[in-house]
Parts: sequence; C-alpha cells; structure tokens
Amino acid sequence: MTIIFIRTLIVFLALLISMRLMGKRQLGELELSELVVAILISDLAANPLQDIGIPLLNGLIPIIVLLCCELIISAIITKSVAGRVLLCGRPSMLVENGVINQREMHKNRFSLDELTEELRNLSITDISTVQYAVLETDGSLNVVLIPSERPVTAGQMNIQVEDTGYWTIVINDGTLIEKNLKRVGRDERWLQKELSARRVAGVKEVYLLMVDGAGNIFYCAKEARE
Amino acid sequence: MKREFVAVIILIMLFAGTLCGTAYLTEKTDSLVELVNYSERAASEGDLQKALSIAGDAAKQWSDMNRYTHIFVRHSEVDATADAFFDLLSDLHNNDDASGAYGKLRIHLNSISGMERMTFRNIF
Repeated sequence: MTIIFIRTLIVFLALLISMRLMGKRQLGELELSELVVAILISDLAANPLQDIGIPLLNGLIPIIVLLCCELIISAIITKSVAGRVLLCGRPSMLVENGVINQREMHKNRFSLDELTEELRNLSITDISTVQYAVLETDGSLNVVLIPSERPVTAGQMNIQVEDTGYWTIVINDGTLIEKNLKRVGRDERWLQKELSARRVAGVKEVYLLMVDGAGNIFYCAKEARE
Repeated sequence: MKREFVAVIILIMLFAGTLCGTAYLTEKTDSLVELVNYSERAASEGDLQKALSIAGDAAKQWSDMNRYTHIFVRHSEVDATADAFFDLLSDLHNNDDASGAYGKLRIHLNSISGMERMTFRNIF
C-alpha cells in the first residue's frame, strides 16, 4: 500500500511537471496532437499505479517521451505553416455573409444542430446576422456579426472614455505582493495610509486589494472565521 | 528553440539508454544461460555435485541482479525466473531428473531479454 502511495505521488509530480512544461494550451482549447497526448498520458501514468508489479519506469518513460514529442510538434506547428496545416488542419468557413457553406459543413461533419447550438451559446438566433462563422482547428466556433449587428463602440459614438489601465492585485488573501505594489507606482507608506483609511490594522486583514492605472482601488476585507 | 532542442536531446538519450539497458540485460541473461547449459552438461555426465554448484553460482548471480531487475523488468517475470532457479536447485539436490527444470529456466531467462529486443514481433 505504501508503494502505491509513493508511486502515486511520483507519477502525479511527473504529470504536473509535464503538463506545466507543455504550456497553457494544454489546459485550454486542445489541438489534435495535444488531445492525443492528454488522453494517452493519463492512461499510461495509471498503469504502474494499479499494478506494483509493473516497474515505475514503465509509466515515467512514456510520460517523458510524450512530453518531448509534444514540445517538438508544438515547435513545428508554431514555426511551419505547412507543418501546422498537416498536423492541425485549416480553419473552415461554415457561414459567410449569412449563407451556410454546406460543403464545409459536410466536410467537417458538423451538423446544423451543432451550428445552431454554438450560435445560441453566443446569443445568436438569426443566422442571417452572421457575417463569418469559422470552425477553428481546435474545434471552437468563432463568429463575426454583420456590421449593423455588432455592438456599438465608444469610438463610433465619439465618446471619450477614460482609460483606467490594468487592474493589479496588490494584496492577495492577506499576502502583500510587493512586485505588484511597485508596478502600480505605489509604496508601503501609501498602502498603510489606504489601510488606515479603511480602519484596517494590517495586510493580514485584507482579502483582496486591487489598484488600477488611474489609482482606483477595489478593496475586500477578510471575513471573520468561525 | 532551446526547449525543443533539449527535448530532442532527451529523446535521443532516452532511446540510447533503453538500447544500453537491453544490451546489458541480454549480456547478463546470455551469460546465465551459458552457465545453465554448462550445469546441464555436468548433470548429463553424472556429476550432480558440479551441476548443483554451477547452478548455485548462476542463481547467486541472478540474485545479485535483483535491484536492477526489479527496477527495469516486470516483477512477475523476475519472480518466475527465481522460481525456475529454485525448482532446478531442488531437483538437483534431490537427485531428480532436472531436464524439465533446465528447459524451464532457459525459457524464462531468454524471454526476459527477448521481450526487450527491438524486433517486429515485440513492437507489434
């Protein structure tokens, strides 16, 4: 039993490191090669956990090999257009100027039910308002509406909108992030002043404090624990 | 590019490592099979003491490889080979006909290295 416990920890760490090295894309929308690796890696990792008669290396070596292959394939996809087309395919235009491209629908085995479902997810029920609907290589559908249906922007209305910049977390669950405090151009004296204004003794009593580029503050105190 | 270059190097090193592991295992099991054959020859000539001594040496060499075999070889195969050694030693000790035990031990030893060889049959 102890062996299984230790093996599980080792395999878990190996998977964590592998997924981390593969990058954020593994966690989000998956390309084909990434999906294959994600499926394989979990299955391979489980074998030595279930049977302690199988050497642990029989689980670790495949993980390392898959990790290396995924890094190499990702590099090919990034650097080579031909490689990207070969490994990931091309995006497909399913709807163009309100007209459904039936050939592309059939080629991608994408049914009308799926198309209307994806459009409904984007609060679109009238296909004639869709200028482009593109089925991406990772299986997601991206939609661009016809200009008259697109949300109005402040620029189009000639309205000047203040740019408040990027909101940065300065205190996260009682921990001061000094790097971020410097990033927003503030110091500890300013922080103490702000905390005192809110009748807070110290950083530990703050759940969340965020500051934007214009100096606006979002503050949330920690709740008292029962 | 650095990450991908490292990935290629790791793949090459892993592949080379596995080839070296297979070569080492083959060399060890071949030398054990040779000892087993030598023991069988002695047994067939009627010198059971010599046969038992040689078989005992082979069993000790196998036992000395225990750490390596348990890390790199399936435990069921390692245990089956150990059982085959014990059966052989038992038969020789009891002056029983050990021809079956010799054959069984040879098969187990050859299958351990045979399973690791890069052959069409093993891959598919």
